[in-house]
Amino acid sequence: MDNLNWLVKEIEKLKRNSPYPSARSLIMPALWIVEKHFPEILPEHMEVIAKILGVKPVEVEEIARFYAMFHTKKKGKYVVRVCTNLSCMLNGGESILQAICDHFGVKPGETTKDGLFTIEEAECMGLCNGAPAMTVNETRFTNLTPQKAIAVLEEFKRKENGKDNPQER
Amino acid sequence: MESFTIIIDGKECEAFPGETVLKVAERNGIVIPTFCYHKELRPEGACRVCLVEVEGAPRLVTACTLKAIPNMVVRTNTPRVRKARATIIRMILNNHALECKDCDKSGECELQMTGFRHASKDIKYKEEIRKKRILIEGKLIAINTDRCILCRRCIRMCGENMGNRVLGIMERGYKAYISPFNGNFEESGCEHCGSCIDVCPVGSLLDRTFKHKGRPWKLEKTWTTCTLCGSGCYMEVDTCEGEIKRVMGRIGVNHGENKGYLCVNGKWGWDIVYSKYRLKKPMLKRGSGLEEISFEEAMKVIEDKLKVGNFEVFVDSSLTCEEIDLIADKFRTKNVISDAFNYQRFLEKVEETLNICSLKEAFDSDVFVVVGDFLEESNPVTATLLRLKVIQEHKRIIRVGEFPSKLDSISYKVFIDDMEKTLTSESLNKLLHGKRFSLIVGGTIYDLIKSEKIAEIVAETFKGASIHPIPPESNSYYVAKKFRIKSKFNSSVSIYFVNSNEKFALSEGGEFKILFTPFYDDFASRADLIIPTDTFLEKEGKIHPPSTTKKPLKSAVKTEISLKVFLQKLPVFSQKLEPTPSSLIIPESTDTLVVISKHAKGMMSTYSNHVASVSGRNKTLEFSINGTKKKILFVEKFDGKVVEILKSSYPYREIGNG
Repeated sequence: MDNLNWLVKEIEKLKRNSPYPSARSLIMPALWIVEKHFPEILPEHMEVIAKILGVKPVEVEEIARFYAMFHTKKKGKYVVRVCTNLSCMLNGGESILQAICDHFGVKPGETTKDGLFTIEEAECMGLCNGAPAMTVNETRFTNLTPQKAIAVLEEFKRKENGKDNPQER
Repeated sequence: MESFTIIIDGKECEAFPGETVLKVAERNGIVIPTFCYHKELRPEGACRVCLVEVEGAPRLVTACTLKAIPNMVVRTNTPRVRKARATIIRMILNNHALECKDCDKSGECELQMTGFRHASKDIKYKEEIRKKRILIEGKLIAINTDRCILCRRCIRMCGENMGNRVLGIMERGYKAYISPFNGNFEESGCEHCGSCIDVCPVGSLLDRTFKHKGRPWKLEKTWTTCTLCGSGCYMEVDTCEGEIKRVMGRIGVNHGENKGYLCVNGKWGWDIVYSKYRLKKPMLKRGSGLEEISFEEAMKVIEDKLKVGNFEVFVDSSLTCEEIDLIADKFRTKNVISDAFNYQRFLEKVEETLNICSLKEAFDSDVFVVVGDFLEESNPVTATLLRLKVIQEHKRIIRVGEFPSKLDSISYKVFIDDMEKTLTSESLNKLLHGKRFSLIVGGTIYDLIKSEKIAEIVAETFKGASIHPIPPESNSYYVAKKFRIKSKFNSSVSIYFVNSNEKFALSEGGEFKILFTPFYDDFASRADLIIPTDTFLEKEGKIHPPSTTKKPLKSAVKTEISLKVFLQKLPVFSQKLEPTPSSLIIPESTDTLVVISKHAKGMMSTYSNHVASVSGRNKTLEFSINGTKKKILFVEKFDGKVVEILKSSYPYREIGNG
């Protein structure tokens, strides 16, 4: 409930400082706030957004479920997106995805058991000059090899294990 | 507007500026197959079945979105068009469930029809059908996503025409499916008007009450008029072996005033015919209980009672004209009471200086001044038609009311203030200056204490303008014209003709009460003699809205019980009792307005299981308008408490503290 109140305040702030003429345009930025701060976008969140922005809840849900970067199902703390589009694929993007999945014992689209990583197969992220590429949340990693990619993720895991509560917001 | 000619398939066709090629072709009898296009909806060009060849254009163009231009040469039946069309239908069919054998739509399915006529007969695609296997089930509406062809007709209907936007498309690509918010119709604010089912070209959106109940080609169709509210919608009642299976509006085909739009009561309220509350035999009070008697015995009781005592008659204003004529003929008294009392008072004030017109005439003008609140509850379809005038014909609504309404979002200007103040204000006058406008009055306005005062103001300020007073009940206008209605009973015998028993409970009077009703419930048990009557779906007759033409009622199901036949058998009773003047008790201070929702109207949420399944609970809403606090008691279901509240302020619907 506290989280919802916090969200209400954030979206109201967003609405106040809106650069757009209509509140509808704020659906995506508002969803992005939820995406960043909550493990998943729940119907409650969508209802809050719809109410504040004055749109119908189904319009928010449509957008949330259309874009792959919004998660309506529970995601891990870090969302790992491995590009498998043309440039990355030619440079071995698919083998990186395979290596990561094998390392953590999950399939693309799944979350690791410890709730840290959600591994996703992504479309082009505009990092073709450093292909093959992947992003962890919003951090870019380019010119990868399977070994490098696993090392990057292990580093994240090591840092997290140092903290007391890896699931904190 | 000046017309020009375009050539479609070698035929010279007359076209008007702004018209689409499809419309011109349709008018000239040239058939272009369509899926996503619907007469009542904004064209979208999503399915691409209506592709045509235009001379000079490099590609095939969708006829539904292509505006006609002078000297255009269009071909709709060349090999190239036929091939493209067949491929597209084949691709749609490839991911369609093809469950025609157990689909309720089979037989009137547009995909079936178009597929047979225009699809290629050979199957080129070897790819397996991608099933989503998602079934969304609401209380009355279900969505079978595997049959959906994603034409978006339902979304446009729900979002634009009805203004609810309950449905949306979830996911994308081949996973895309239609769903309400969170898969729940009730949560997303669905009004259950059934328009989405009506426009669905395939069997994706389903009427759950019709699921596996019958095949469309076996159904007998009866076109009749709904008398559940003053909108008087024209609708198709489908029966099979003498039993009602469903009601359809047929949007786009229906030529009635309502254009096929219905509300939850019209679409699903037909189960009142089979309600558990239906009466079969007359009942007479003996001692503390009621006893079943025959119709002949009942007739004798009436004769005995009316010979000695003075009597008064309550006439429900949703009876047919014929029944009302018969009542007036058989019970000759000047003491008539009716629920059209408030309507008559309003009508009398305005008809001297204003020109009473039908809804159709009122819709001819460019600006509508809509006076009154909660029109979407008292006459849902009239509210929808007003909305469509704005959306489809770009007319203007100026809304004058005291509470927010669904119509506000499409109104050109909204005045939410004291209605007396607004109607005389300079700003309203300025807005109407030099415009062709008509007044449309309805909703809760007749039930206000100040209703007469508002009528006087309207009559004074808009002298000579045309006004359509939306009748609260289907035949209010006829009753108001026929009788001089009084407000209270004071005789020893009172005879009630009602279609829903809350009307009986609201204006109780007399020592001996004779009740003519289709239903038996708690309120009816207060009567001394109850005689069963027929519901509107079983009647033949006419209703008379404020217009020159009457609307016909055709009986969809046969019944042995008939009010008309019973009345015809009765002898004439007359009395010379002088009418007692109406004495109205006007409450001193009121702060709450009682609003009867569309579910509670005519006690539908009691008699109809379908309507009851989607109606909510009675609630008190608070509004703060211009600094003053106002309360609303929103009635979703009639119970003893609500009747007591309304009775204390009868005939008004405003109550004081507590």
